[in-house]
Amino acid sequence: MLSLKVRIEMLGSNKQVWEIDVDKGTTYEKLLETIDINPETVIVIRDGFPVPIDDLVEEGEIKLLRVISGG
Amino acid sequence: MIAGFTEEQIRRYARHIILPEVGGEGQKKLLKSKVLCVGAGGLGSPIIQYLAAAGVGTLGIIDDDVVDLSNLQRQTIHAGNLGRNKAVSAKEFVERLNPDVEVITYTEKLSPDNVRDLIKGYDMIADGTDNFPTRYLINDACVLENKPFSHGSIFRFEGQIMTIVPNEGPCYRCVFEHAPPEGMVPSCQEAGVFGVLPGLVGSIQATEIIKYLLGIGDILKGRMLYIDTLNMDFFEIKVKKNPDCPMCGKRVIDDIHPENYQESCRLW
Repeated sequence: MLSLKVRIEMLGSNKQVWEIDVDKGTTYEKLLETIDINPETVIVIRDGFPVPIDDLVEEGEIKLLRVISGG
Repeated sequence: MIAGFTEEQIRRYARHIILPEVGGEGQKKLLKSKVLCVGAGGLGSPIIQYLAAAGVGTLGIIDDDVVDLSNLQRQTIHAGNLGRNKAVSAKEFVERLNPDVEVITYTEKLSPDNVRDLIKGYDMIADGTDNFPTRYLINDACVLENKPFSHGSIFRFEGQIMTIVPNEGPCYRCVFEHAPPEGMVPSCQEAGVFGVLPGLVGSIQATEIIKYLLGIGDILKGRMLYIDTLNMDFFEIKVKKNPDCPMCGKRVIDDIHPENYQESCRLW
């Protein structure tokens, strides 16, 4: 199966980065599970816009925005 | 003397009045404006401080919490007021800073029962809360009542700011449809917070509110500003109205129902 190269960057202090290959047809939800991140705790950002987690992964870079509530 | 101002007001607001974007007319707008600040803690403190200094004529302040020693690392307006209600303490600060500002204090918690009535009397709302249920409550009530609000949230060294203008731009639920499951995201009490961070984020919220009231510049409507102060990294997320948003997309609710503001704030 065709695989896609994806770079994932967690926005934030510790700058976690993952570079992984995933099968074409994988959803962002599945991708997040692969790197052990609960999809309900982050928003996926692609090209500056949030994308639904049931969208199919595209090759390239995404950023993850943590859901936070402190004040 | 400029018509409509006292000598003292001309001196107090001189640096605003000489700005072409504000001027005498803008300053009068601010003096006639009413802003409700939900929370007088980390974010609320700088919001209240700068709105009062700018001469926003009426400030509502709602907070049921009391000032604790651990707050003073970042909540500078409460100096000397340990153990006092934060809304009352904030009022004392504003009275010392600017007698032009009328402060209305609410020492209760913002709740599904009082939110719609409370926000009705204000031109804009400042979200300075520290928990998901109140954030969703403010968003949903503001969309229903067509009230603009400034969203700000913080975590350790990170902050997020967005200005929500219902009907014109996306709302908080357009980005975060519901909260994460309870316990998945630590609070500032659990994870810590860099003391100066709420000063920065709250000051940006105050900037947004004052600009909105004046009708000047570009506000963070349809844009979320993300700040990482540890690496001094600023990042903008473009946000569109989400057709699946339960508030401004599908419009699945037409009133505030208490059962929607517990744990994940999911709207069924």
